[in-house]
Amino acid sequence: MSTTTTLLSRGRLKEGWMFFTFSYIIAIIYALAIAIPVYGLLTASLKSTTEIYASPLGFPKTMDFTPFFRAERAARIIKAMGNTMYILIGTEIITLVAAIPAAYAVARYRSKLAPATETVFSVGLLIPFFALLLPVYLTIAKLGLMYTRTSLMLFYPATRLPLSIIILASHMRGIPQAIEDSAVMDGASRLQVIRHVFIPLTQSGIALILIMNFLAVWNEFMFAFLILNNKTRTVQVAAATLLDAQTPDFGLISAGVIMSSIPVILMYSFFQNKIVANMAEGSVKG
Amino acid sequence: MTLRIRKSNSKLTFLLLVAPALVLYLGMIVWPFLNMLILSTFRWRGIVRPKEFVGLVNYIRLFKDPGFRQALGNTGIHYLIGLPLGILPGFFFGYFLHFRKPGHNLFRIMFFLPVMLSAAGVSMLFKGIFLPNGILNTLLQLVGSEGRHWLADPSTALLSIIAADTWGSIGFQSMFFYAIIGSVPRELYEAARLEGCGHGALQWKIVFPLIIDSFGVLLMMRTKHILIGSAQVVMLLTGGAPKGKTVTIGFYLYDQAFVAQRLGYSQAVGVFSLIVGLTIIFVIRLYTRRNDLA
Repeated sequence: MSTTTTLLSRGRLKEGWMFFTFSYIIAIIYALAIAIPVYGLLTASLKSTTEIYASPLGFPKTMDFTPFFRAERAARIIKAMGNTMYILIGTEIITLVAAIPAAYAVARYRSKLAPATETVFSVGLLIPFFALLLPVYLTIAKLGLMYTRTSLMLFYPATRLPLSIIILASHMRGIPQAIEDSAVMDGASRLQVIRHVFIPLTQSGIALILIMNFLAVWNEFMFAFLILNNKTRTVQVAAATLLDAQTPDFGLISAGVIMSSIPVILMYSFFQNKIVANMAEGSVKG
Repeated sequence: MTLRIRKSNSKLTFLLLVAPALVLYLGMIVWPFLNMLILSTFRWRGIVRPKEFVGLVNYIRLFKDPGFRQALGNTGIHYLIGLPLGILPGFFFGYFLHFRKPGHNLFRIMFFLPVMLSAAGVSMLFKGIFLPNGILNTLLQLVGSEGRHWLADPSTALLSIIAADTWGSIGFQSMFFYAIIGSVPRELYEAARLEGCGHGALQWKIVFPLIIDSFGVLLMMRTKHILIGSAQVVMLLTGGAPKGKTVTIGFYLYDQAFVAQRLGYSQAVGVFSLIVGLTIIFVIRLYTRRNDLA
């Protein structure tokens, strides 16, 4: 008995040792595959063009911040960040104003319309919105909203509604009916119930939606690229114009990437665990 | 009577509550979707030009168009390489990290770095990696190997696009699996481990069936992305060059609509790729959906 246990545990230990050595090796390889380009990106933004050309991976001899100023001059990134913020705030407000009552209706109404509505929105999760480039472009043109930031403040919320409604409805189903009933008995209207009972009790879901919308809107490129113009363009579009030069200047490009990513990096460094765990969980529910 | 009034009244409130969401969604997603189907039956060469109804001619043309066939082939290669290249290391790393061995926090931070970059940001970074005098060639020179012009060389261009598209997604998928495996109750697989079950078997025979739903979700997300969404990387890195070697279906859709101005035809490309994508997603869902999970 004791020998078999020892044998088993010894076999296990041996295999465990091999498994973890192998894991460490490939994890380190992947970590290097990330670290080297990111190091190249960070240092290139502090080097002069000639220095990058001479040694792309050398450590910067002097801290030279001029690539940032040149990137800003060439692409007007800060102004574009303002456009992104404007579209972002509009998207956040419109998404919540539309999604909260809809999620309440879907979660609480016993009519057959409720599951049907939820299905209509769930189907949206399957559609790659990218495929709708041309028809969305035409719709926005028909509305007379070409080149305006307003156009994306209508389109982005529409793309965010499926996931938002599904997340909020699943949070709302967890709220006991008794709480709602007692509010109704006290004479509260539907909207008052939503405002004073459901919104406070689904705060974590709302926060998650706000964060995920932030990331999606901040990083969206293609629709903004096609619909906006030089004055209204967003930060991703502005930064990407740095690629247009005949001979790409990696210092300039790096500075653009770093500037345009700072808000997202801050967001992730505060909420990383929450975001990924919820994305994983939320996507399974959908 | 009162009952009926209350019922119709409740139907009305329901509609009022969902109205803002429904209007936005119908106007900006459902209508464009239907319009895509409609437009695909027209010959339409430029927004200011007239449309001409041609039925299914655009769809027939798809099969005779060498450009489309090339795009389809490139997307197939991207899918067959990019999908396993992202998801298998992702699952492996997620499983490894959840043991919280020394250094796992550092790995998590590292793996998360590329997730924080946007698609445009990743493309810009890879422009610098693949430049003739860029990061990759510098590294190759260190080990005495000859560099090349990765994005301009027809034999490496598509692989370079796939690398740029997969690079960061491994990190995202590792974090995804790390979160999912962490949410599985440990008791469910600890017993198997104590009985001497090796890591390979533990990972694929015990943990995998427990998280197969999430595995399916990730496969669907990646399918959607590779088939259509990855076009931005192509657009920013190569614009389809050299000789169409990097044109994927998503990029072809964009290119036919906005560059070649074959508006009706481009929508047939879109409908075709949607049908392919939805079919693959349906099959994935069929095989990865566990019925015991509510």
